Amino acid sequence: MTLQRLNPADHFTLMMDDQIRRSGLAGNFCALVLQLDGEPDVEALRERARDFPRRFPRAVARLRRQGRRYAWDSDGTATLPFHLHELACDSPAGERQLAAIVNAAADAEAAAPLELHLLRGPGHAVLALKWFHPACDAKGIELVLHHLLHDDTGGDDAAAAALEGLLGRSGLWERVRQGWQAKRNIARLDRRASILPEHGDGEPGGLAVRLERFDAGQSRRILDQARASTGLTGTALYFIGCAMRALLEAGAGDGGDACLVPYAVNLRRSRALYPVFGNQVSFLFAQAGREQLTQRERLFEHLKAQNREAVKAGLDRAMLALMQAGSWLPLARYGDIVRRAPRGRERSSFWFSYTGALEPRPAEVAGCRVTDMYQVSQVTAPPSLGLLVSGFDGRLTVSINYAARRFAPDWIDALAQALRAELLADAA
Amino acid sequence: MQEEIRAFIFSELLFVDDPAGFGDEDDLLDAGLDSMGIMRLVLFVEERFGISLPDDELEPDNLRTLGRLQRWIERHR
Repeated sequence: MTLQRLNPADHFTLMMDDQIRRSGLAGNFCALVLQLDGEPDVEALRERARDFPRRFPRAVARLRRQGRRYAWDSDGTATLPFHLHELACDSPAGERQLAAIVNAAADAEAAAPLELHLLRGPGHAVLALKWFHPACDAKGIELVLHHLLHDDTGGDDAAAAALEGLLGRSGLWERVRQGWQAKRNIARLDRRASILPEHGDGEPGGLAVRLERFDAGQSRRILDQARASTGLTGTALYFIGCAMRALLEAGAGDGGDACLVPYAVNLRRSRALYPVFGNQVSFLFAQAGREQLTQRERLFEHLKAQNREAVKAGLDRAMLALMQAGSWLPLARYGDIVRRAPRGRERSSFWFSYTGALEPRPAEVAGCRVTDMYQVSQVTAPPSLGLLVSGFDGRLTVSINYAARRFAPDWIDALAQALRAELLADAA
Repeated sequence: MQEEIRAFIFSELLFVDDPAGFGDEDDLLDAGLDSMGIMRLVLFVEERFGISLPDDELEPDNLRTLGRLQRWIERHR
């Protein structure tokens, strides 16, 4: 494998890695966490881990700096890290073990793109796929899981790279026009100061995760509410709208006129098994003023219309052009531009990601049934808060990711309770 | 028109093993067409064919299959 330059979305997440480290957290590390109903066949799993880099050399590549740009460097001979742990008996201790895994820092240029961690306990186990975000996105890690468990497909097909394909369709001047379009859009959003969660200013203290789980009935109710409120095309917008309202109810910080939430847009075709590595995402913003946040139905109508206009105007594609331009900036400068509005205020109220149901769904993992799944992601501090929504077996989980020492436990409790009520429409 | 829509769906929005074998009454939603894909599809149809599809008719009944989509479009041409 020769050097492969990071695509603009990879570089964007590398910039976020730099920002996360500057705020005292580990870096842009994430995890897909699977709960298993028994102890899997460790040797079978280890064997699959050994074989994986042969098919996907990017899984064991390392970042190499080339001037202001970065590339993946791998000869495909490195091994995929596979760590075996004994799982603590009680649940909070188990959660602390997972937190320690995702909070383990490594220099960006030494970080493994992918690590497997198997935590074995009596009668159950947890498999965590920890990944370094510049290597792949949340959909990509689901595809990693699929290819890790199956032999039925070939290697990563560079020709299927969704993001590069889209960029390749636009000529230079078209990309310049798109970049300005995206910049103008952000300037319009910046007219309103963002509402930020009420947090302290001390050391962030590492990433903490609070899980809000919903049973099958509750999950059906939430998805029905989403359909009724935001229609066929706006499930993610329902979660975003509910989270905005929950943030206000839990208590936001010093003022601000509007909630602003960036969210990723997957550029792969639905159900495509490739591309696996490389971030294949663009992003859009959801913004709602205080006057819109007070009325649920009005808020959802607003978010739906805003999203439709953004897609119609091609803003998701325009953001790619802006990210491409950003790839030439020093990481710190790029980060400052992305995170801060002109008056220096943090632009994002919180980070959000909706990954939907785990797809493809694994039938088993080395002889064990998967009983639950959720995602974890490091955040920048501030806003120090990220909400990740995923589904498994018809059950939704909201993973609330936050800088541990920036929030009082009571505040996180209040946020979680308000979010549950909003999602289930108890507060409507 | 039908062929253009079909080509757009399978090249941009949805991966299936055999696009040619995907029938006009096969279920696009079951095949995995997601919410963002539906929005892109509707915007593609509006822009490419110069028609306006009402938001309040954005229902599975009108979008579930290529045939239903075609009939929905015909009603608004």
